[in-house]
Amino acid sequence: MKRLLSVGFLSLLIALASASASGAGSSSSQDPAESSSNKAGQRNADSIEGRVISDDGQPIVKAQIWVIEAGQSSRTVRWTKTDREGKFRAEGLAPMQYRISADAPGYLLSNESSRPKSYSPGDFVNITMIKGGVITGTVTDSSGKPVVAVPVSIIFVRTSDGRSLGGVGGAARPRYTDDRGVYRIYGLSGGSYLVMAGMRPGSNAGLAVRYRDHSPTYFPSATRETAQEVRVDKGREVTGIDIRYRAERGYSISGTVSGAVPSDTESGHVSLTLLYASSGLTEAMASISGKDDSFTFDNVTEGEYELIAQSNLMSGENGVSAPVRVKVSGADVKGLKVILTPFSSIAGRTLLEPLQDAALKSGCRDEREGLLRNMRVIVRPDSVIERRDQPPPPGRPRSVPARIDDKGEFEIQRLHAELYRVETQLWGRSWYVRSITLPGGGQNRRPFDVARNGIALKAGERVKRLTVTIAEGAASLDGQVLPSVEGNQLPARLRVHLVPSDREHADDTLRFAEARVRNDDSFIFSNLAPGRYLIVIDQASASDEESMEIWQRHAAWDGVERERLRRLAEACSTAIELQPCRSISHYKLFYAPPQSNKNGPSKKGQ
Amino acid sequence: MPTLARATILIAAMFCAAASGQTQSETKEAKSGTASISGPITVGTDPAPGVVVAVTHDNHQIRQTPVAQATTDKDGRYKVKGLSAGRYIVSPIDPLLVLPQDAMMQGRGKSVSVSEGEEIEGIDFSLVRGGVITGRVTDDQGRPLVGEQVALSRVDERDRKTFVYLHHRPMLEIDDRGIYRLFGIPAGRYVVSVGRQLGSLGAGNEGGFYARTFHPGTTEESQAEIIEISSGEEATGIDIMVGPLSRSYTVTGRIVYAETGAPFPNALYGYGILSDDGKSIQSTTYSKRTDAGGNFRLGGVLPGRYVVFSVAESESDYYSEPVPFEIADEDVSGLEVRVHRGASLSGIAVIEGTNDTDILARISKLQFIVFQQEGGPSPPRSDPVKIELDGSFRTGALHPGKVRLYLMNHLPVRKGFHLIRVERGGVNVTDGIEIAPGEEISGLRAIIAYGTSRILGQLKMAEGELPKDVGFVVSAHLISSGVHRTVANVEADQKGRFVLEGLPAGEYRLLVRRGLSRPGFGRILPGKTFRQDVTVAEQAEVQVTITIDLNAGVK
Repeated sequence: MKRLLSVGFLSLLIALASASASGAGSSSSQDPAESSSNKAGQRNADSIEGRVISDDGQPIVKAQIWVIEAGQSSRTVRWTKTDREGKFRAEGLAPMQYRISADAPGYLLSNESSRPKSYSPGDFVNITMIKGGVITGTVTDSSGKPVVAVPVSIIFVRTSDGRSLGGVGGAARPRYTDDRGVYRIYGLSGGSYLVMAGMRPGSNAGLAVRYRDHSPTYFPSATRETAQEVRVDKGREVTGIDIRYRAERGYSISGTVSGAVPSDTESGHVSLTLLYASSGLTEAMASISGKDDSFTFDNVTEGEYELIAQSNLMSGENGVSAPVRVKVSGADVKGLKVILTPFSSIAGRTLLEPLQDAALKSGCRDEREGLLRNMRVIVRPDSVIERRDQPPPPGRPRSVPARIDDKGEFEIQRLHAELYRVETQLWGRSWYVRSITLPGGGQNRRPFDVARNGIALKAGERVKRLTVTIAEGAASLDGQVLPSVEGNQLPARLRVHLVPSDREHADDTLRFAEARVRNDDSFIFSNLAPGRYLIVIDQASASDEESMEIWQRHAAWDGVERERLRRLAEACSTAIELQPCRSISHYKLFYAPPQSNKNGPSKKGQ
Repeated sequence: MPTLARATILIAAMFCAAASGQTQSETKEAKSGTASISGPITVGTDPAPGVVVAVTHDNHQIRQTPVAQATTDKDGRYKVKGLSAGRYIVSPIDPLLVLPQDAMMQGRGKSVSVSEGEEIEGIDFSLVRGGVITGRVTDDQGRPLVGEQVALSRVDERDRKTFVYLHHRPMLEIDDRGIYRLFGIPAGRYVVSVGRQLGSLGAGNEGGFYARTFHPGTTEESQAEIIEISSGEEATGIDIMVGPLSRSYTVTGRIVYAETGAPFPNALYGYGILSDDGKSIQSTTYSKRTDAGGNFRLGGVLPGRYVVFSVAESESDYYSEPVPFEIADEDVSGLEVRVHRGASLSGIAVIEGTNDTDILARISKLQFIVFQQEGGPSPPRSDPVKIELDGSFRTGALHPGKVRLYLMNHLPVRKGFHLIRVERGGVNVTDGIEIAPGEEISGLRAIIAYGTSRILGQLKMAEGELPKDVGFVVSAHLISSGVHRTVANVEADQKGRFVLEGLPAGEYRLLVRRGLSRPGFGRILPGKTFRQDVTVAEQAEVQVTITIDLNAGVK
C-alpha cells in the first residue's frame, strides 16, 4: 500500500513538473503567436478554446483573437485567428485568468460579448459579433461633378443613448471616394456621427494632394459648427449621406508656445486645442514635443476660435494657457504667442471626529473601514458650467476628484487660476462634513472657511493644508412632496432646502442642504449634520433645469441666497430636528403654491 | 575617353534636407526660390485642364509631402513656381487621368534638376483616361472577405505577370459587402487576385490565410482569367471566389552545440525560403530567441520549402548549419539545428586620401558588413561590424569559406568613403579571405579611400533627343589595381546630366543602362549597356560625355 502511494505521488510530481516546464518554456520564449493546431495529444487543460459567430449564427472566419492577462499587467500573451469554422484555440497557457478580445473587419462585439469576463485554461469562449453600421453617400462639387479620391472621415459625437463626447476622434483612417465620388464607411458602432470630406491636418497627401489647401466640408455642406449629425445603428446602413464639397480655402493658424514648456531634458509634449469660440466644439488638436516650440493648424475655415494649450510632462512643472482668441478672416494667422502659466494645486488632509458618546454611537453603523478609501474630495471651478454628459475641452478648468490615501491625505493637481469650490463625496450614511478650512493668517488665527468662500487660486499657486473635517453621527431624511390641496398638480423643478435653525450654526454653509424633487415626487437627503432645521420648498428657474446634465451651483454658496432661504424658512414654520445616526423616512412635505399666504410647506411628519 | 571640354558649370544635385515626417512647418519648404517647371498635359490630343502636378524632392524617399504643386489651366498647361535649385520629381496626380501602362512611370513622374532662377519648360505628360475594374470577393460560403486586399498584376504579350504597385492603396481594400473597385487603371491586360502567395513569410500568417486566388476562382496563375480594359472602360463582375481558409503550421525543435549536443540557449533564430536550387536562402525572418532548453518554435508557416537557422551574432561566436524542412499539410517537430564555433576576423581600418582629422575621426561611424558564400545556404548575420575610434574591428561567428568585407551603405556619413582594398600580410584579399573552421585571423588591413572627386557627366544620343519616357541609370565601378567595386549609382536628369560625387582617385568604369534608380521603383530595363572608362585624379572634377547609340551593339 505504501509503495503504491509513493509511486502515485511520484507520478503526480512528474506531471506537475512537466506542466510547469512547458508553461515556463512557452512564456519565456515570449511568443504571443500560438496558432490553433490540433495536435491530438495536447491536453486541453492549458488551452482556451472558443468560437466567434455573427448574430445570424454564421461563423466569423479569420477574426483576430487576443488572449490578455487579466489584471494590472494587461499583457497580451497570445494572438491567433479563427479558422474556417470560426473556432480558435490558444495553447500553452499558464493557469491564471485571462480576457479574450476579438476583432473582425466590419464587425463589433455584441453587448453581451463586450462585458468584461475572465477565462481560465480549459474554458470554452463563445463570442458573438454584430455587423457594424454603414454610412455611405456621394461627394460632389458645386457643379455636381463627383469629387474623386477625397478622404472622408467620421467624428463620433454621441452614443446611442444620447451621451455626447465632444471630441475630435474619428475612424482610425479615412475612407476615400471612388471615381464616382462614392464613399462607404462600415463597421461603425451605434451612435451619431459627423461626416467630413477633406484633408485633416497632418495627414499624408498621396492622391488627395489636390485637396490640400481646402478646409474640410461637413455633411451636408457645412462647417463643423453647422454640421448635421448622422445617426447610425449597428447592422444598419444609412445611405444618401451626400456631401456638397465647398472647396473653400483653408487658412493656417501658427505661432509659438512659451512658458512652462518641456525643455530638452524632459520628455513630454504640449497639446494645443483649437475650439469654436461660440459653441466650444473642438475643431482640431495639435501637439508639440521636443525642442520645437512652434505649432501650425492647417485647413482652418474662416471663423472665430479659441486656442488653449497645456503641457503634459513626465516630470516637472506643467502649465496651461489662458484661452487665446483667434479670428480667421481671409488670411493666415501667424505669430500667435501662447504662454503657459504653471498649474496650481491643492493639497490637504481629512480629519475624523468619531462620536465619543457611547449611547449616541450605538445607533451608528461602523463605517470606518471603507470611509477614507471611498471618500472623494472634489474641487470644482465656480465659474464653469459643466455638463454631465460631455467632457469639457482639454485645457479648460474642470472639476477634479481626488482620492484620500492611507494617511488621510490628498492632493489635486493641474488646477487653473480660478475660484474653486470644494465638495465631498461621502460613502455610507454615518458621517457628515463638519468643516472645510485652511489655516488662517492674521491676528486671530481663525481658520479660513473654504466651504463658504471657496479657494481663489492664483497661477502656479500650491495651496497646502486644506483640512476637511468629517464627523460621525450624520442623519438622513427622505420623503415625498404632496400638493397641499389634493388633486393639484405639483409644479416642475421643485427643490427642497434645509436651512439650519440652531443659532450657532445659522450661517454655516455646510448645513444648508438642497435636494431635487424627482419625477416621482420623492426627495432624499443624506450625510446631514444633526441639529434643527427649517424646511423650504422652492422652484428652480427654467434655465437652471434646462438640462439635468448641468452641475448645479449650490444656493448656499451665495450669501444673498442664504439670506433669502432663511427668510423663506422663517416665514413658514416647518421645522425638523435630526438626531445623530437617525434616519427619517417617508416624510411627507406639503407644497402650497406661493399665491396662498403660507409661503412654504406644511408638515405632516412622522 | 574622357572629354575635357570646359562646358558651362553644372549644378550638382543638391541634397536638400530630407523632407520626411509630418511636422507642419515644413510643408512650404523650398518655395523660396525663383526657378519654375512647366509644360503641357494632354489626354490624347486634347489638353487636360484641372490636373494637379506635384513636385517632390528627388532624394530617394517615398511618400513625401510635395514641396510645390500647380494645376493645369484650361489649356492644359501647368507651371510650378518658386522652386529653389535642386533636383525634383515632377508627377501629375490625378485619380482618373493616368500615365500610360509602363512599369517605369506608373505614377512616378519625371526627374528634373533646376538651377536658381531657371525656367524649365516642356516637361510634358501625355495621360490616358484610366479604367475601372470592380467585382466581389467571397469565400465558398458566399461570405465577403471584408478588409482583405486585392492585388493587380499586369500581363504582357507573353502572358508574364508583373505585380502593379498602385499608388492609391485604399482602393485595394474589400468592403463589408465584399466589393472592391479599382479606378484610374491604364488600358491593358490584367489579372486580379486576393490572398497570400505560398512560400511567403511572416507572423501575419498565424492562424490561417487565404491562398492566392485569381479571378474567377483559381489558385493557378496560368489559369487566371485575363481582364482586358481599354481607356476609360469599366470592367464589372470581376469576382473572385476563394476556397476555405488554409491553415498555417508550426515548426518546433532545438538548437544545440554540435560538439556536445547541449542546448544553445538565448539564440536568435528564424527561418527563410530556400531557393529552388537549394543553394541560398532568399527572404528571411527572425525575431525570437531560444529558451533555456534551446527550444525554438516557428508559428504561422505556410506550405513550402524552408530552412531554419540561428542568426550569426558576433558576440556569440557560433554559427549554425541551417536545417531544411518542408511543410506540406502538417506541423513539423523534432528538428535539430547544430551550431559550431565560428572563425573570427580582426584588423585595422585605415583611411587614405586625406589628412583632415575631422574626416579621419569619422572612421568610428563607419561599419562593415560581412558577406559569406558557401556551398550551401548561409544564415543571416545580425550585426554590422563596428569600427572603433582607433580603426580596429573584429567579427566572429564566421563559418568556413570565403569572406568578403564591404562598407555598410546606408549611412549618410558614408559619403566619400569607399573600401577599396583588404590586405592580409601584404597580400590583396579584397575578393575574399579564405577561412578554415574556427580559425582566428588577425592583422587584416582594410583600406578605405576617402575621395572628394567628382564626375560630371552628360549623356548624348547618337541620333535625336533623349527619350522622354524613361530614365538612364549610371553606375560607377572602381577598377584600379585589379579591384572591381561598385562605387555609386545615379539617375541622369531630364537633360541627360548626372553627377557622381565623393569619389577617390582611380580608374573607373561607367555603365549606362535604361531604368530608374528610385527606392521601390529601382529597375534596370533589359537592353543595351553602354560603357565608358575614365580616370579620376585626387580632388578633381572630371567631365565626361557618353554617347548613346541605341542602334549599335553592346560593348
